[in-house]
Amino acid sequence: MPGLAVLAGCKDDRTGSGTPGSVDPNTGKKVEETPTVDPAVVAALSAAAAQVTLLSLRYASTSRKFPALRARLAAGTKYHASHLTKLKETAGVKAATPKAPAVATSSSAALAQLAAQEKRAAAIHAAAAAKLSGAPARLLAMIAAAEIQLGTSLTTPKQKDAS
Amino acid sequence: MTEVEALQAALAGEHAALYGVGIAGGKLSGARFRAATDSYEQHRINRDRLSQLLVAAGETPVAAEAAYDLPQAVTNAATAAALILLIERRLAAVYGDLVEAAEKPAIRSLAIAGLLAAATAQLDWGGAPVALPGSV
Repeated sequence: MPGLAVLAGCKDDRTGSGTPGSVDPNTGKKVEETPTVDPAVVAALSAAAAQVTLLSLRYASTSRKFPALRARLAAGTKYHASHLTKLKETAGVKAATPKAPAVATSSSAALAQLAAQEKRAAAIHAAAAAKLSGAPARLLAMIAAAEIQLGTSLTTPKQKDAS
Repeated sequence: MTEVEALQAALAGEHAALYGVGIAGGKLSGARFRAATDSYEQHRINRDRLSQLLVAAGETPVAAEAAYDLPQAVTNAATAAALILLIERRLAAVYGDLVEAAEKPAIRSLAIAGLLAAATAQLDWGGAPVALPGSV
């Protein structure tokens, strides 16, 4: 087979064999290339990151105003921080820092406000997930699922008895 | 995982869910029994929809097993609810896989709806919120 003959004299295990890749013209050193992410994906994940940042701010403001709710808000605070970390793992994703939102005057109204924001965010992120594909779609869908759970649990008086 | 493989996995999950919820329902009563009945009906609808999608794609839908190994014996209402909770957690992961593997927008939307439904059902059956429902 002609191709075999062409390859017969090649050795690819020697140092310096193969293509050199990108080289920094100033230093002469090899540059690690970061794969380019689809701008539409970056935009969608950045929008989600901004929304999650806003939710985190709402949790922080509500916790400050109603310290008695801190335990109840702990899961949401923690999970939104992990959502933001996950979103920012994609190169180019940035979260705008929104203004801290106003908190309702009573603790029950503040909880209802947070629950409504969670459910609204879930709808937005589920819709955004449907417009993407692959791992970014899954990440947004899972964040939406977490927001549905958090929104529902905030307005549930107590954990339902499993029996 | 291809879209078809993920669809087959979701269908297999729904077959298992129907079996498990059916078993669990036998140990429930009142509002919990009605909730299990609603859950069974929803999983039946999901199973049929997934089967239709596979047939439309020219594939043979995976068949249900005659029986499934349960993770623990279902002896009372508490173990019945725990089984349904476990089923919903596993289904969330299966639908998460389908969201990721989906190539057609309609299938991705169905998968997202399945993931959100499983996440909601987890709370109904005694589960607490988790950071990323449907992660593996």
